[in-house]
Amino acid sequence: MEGSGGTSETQNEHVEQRLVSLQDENRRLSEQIKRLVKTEHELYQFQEQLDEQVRIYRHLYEIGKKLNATLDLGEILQIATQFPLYQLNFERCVVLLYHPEENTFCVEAHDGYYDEASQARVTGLRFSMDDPALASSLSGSDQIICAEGCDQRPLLALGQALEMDEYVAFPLGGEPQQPIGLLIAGNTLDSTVQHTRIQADSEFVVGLANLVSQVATTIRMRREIQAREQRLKEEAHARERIEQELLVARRIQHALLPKDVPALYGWELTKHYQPAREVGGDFYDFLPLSDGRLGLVIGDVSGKGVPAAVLMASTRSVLRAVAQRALMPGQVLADANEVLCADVPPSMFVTCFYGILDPSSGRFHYANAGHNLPYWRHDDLASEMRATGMPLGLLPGMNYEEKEAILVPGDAILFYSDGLVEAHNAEGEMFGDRRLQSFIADRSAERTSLIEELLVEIANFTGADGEQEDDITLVRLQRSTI
Amino acid sequence: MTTNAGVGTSRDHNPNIAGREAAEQALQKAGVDRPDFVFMFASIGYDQHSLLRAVRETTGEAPLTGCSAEGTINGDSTDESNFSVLVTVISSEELHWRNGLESGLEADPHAVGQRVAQALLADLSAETIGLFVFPVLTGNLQHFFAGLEGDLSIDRFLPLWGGGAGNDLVDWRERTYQYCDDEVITDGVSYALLSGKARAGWAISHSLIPIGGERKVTRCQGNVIYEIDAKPAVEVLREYLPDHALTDEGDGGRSAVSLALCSRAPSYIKDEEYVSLGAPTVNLTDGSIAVQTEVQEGMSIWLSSRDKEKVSTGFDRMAKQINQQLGGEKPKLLFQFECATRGKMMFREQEKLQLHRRFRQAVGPDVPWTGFYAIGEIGPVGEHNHIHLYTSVALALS
Repeated sequence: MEGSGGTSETQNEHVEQRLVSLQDENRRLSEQIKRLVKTEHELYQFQEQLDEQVRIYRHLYEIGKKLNATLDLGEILQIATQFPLYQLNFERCVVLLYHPEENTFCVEAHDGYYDEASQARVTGLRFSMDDPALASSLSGSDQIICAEGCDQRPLLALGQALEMDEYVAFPLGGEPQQPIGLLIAGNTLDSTVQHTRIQADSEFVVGLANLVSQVATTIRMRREIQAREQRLKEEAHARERIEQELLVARRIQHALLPKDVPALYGWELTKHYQPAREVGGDFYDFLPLSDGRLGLVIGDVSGKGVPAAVLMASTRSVLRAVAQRALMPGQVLADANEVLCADVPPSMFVTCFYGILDPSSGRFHYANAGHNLPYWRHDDLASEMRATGMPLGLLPGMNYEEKEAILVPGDAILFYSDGLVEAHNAEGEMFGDRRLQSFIADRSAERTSLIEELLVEIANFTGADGEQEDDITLVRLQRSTI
Repeated sequence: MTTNAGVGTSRDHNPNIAGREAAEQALQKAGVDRPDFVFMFASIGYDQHSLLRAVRETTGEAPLTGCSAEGTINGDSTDESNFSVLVTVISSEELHWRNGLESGLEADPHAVGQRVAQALLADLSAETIGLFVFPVLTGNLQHFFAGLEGDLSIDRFLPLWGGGAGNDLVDWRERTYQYCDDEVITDGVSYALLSGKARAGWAISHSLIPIGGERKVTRCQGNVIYEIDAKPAVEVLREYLPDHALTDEGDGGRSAVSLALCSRAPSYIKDEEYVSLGAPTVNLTDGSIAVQTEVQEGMSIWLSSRDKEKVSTGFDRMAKQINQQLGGEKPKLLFQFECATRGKMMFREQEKLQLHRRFRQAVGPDVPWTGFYAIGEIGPVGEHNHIHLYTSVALALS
């Protein structure tokens, strides 16, 4: 019995020990579960905060993309006012923009629910630059917070105007004390339970600061782009106006240049006029004189555009008038110079070669007022027809040297303007007088295609991409061999 | 014989815009101009009257029922911000609705139940399908059920579906709203009796698992527990919560909701061993906690926690049950009443959306789907109408 009792006691002890051990284990497990539940709880909260931050920054990234895709101020401000409401859960958001012409900040956009009367009032709000309600916001601070319990009157005044009992205000870009606008987000106290409270350094206020920075950059960029667009528009207008003027100038010039060359028995007269893109001042004229002779004019007015066209017209008229009175070319140029000197604006002048041909004798008298020297092809040589004289319109009382050439059958003269010899090739080299002289010397005077060949030569010289810099005027006088 | 339903939503913060936008969207999806009936669930950030007015104007004054919500569920998309409204419009030749509203639920739930029963008596028929109820969650909603069922004089079981009106859960005892036509109240129940020719399939799933061993309620009154295992009830909760969690009552509510008190499930609940008594609401002054069900001294209780795996498998099971009940018929409309603790308080956004997507895919990806995050979910188990907590209740009509 004792043995049996001893065994039973031993078993009981064993069971009790086992029970104590299980209770210990149960206690340990229970404590572990409590720790796990606590940790899980903390993790939930931590994860919630992290998720919230990630969500805000993801939306900020999306907003950045949206802002980059638009220059429409209304759209920019809509994005700016929606974010504080729909992503940060503030009740209201208002953007004021500065209008320098009135020195006021006006409500440019707002979101959040206002009843009809409040909406109309808030929409029309304007604050002068020195309004005390804006003083803090324009003090140069990065942000102004008016939280519950704030007792600063100016801050409360702004909140009252915008119907926000608590708010955060951010200056939008610009100079620290003169921002381009203000973004204000906040709540009424009645609705704070359902909205994000205003607290400095909360992730929501930081998110808002981030938004403000993006919006300010976009508005600034938009303004710069708009200013650039305006400048470009003005430049385009100016260009258009100039083009119009050039068109008028070109029409004047074309109207004044002879369309046909006079027919002279035993003589060939050809001309070519090739205007540059910008209107130059080249001109030529044929003046049948009363004694049967023919006056030949080639000239170039300094400058371009309308002024050059007007001076060219005036010079042509003067030359036509004086050519009928004077018998010799030197006198014609001298008389013309006297008339023009009175009217030509300072720094403008006219180069002009004037010759008078007696078709029956081949006698050619000429004088030159500073124009490019024509080439006389005679006996397979091309020589310059040199005669001294100042350009017209510079100084009064000028004399012009007169020369004479006798053109025999086969002789030819090429009159030209500086656009020909001053044409450049791709290397910047000029076509030049020497090259022209050789070209003329190398070709028979009878070649009626001289001008065409010369133009091909020039085109080859300047190259396909070479832009014609100046007018090119060519007049060729050829005494027939028959 | 057709039933058309459409669900529309809006997140606009302006109640006038939000109400109109959600209603227009719902009408467009249903393809109707004038619906026969409207359900509306909305967050409490809105001015409720303005929101309701906007919905009513847009839906042509069609009869409406609904309530405020912690969040809205529109198909596999959910919104638990404070600004979301969900409008469901229904146009049907085969369904008939009778809606109503009763206040005073907190003061006398039994009497309110009786009044609702009296109001519905004339409309009960062989074609009655069930009753949608959206009450303010009171200490013991079973008294409301008792009052209602006791006075119905109906020879067959009347299933109740719905959810307790919600708020933003900063403090779930804060005001919630119930809607009926143009009326908004805060302490009552809105309801809609559904009759006609439709098949209803529903399912419920729980999310709690017990942690720790059995405990006893040693001092209590009504739904307030003062002591558990002879210790102040709050101290028992503290054992499971971080030190800072119960420092004030406001935060305490949010922290304590991660724990729940369970008791043994009644015998008619076959799928679950335990059912929730409610989310504890702490009172730091006297160390008590309140739950949403009445308790008795000596009652066995278990602290429990939400389990993600259980939620996930629960949705799978619900989809299966609903599909079986509908006999393969495609639902024309689905209601989902989800516990507010099973939303963002439990899941990360993507996690939550994936679960809802999977559930919807399993029932019908293009079925109009409406619901909300509730404080207390209502759905029958067997022939017992029950207020559940930490659960999901889904009802499909085909």
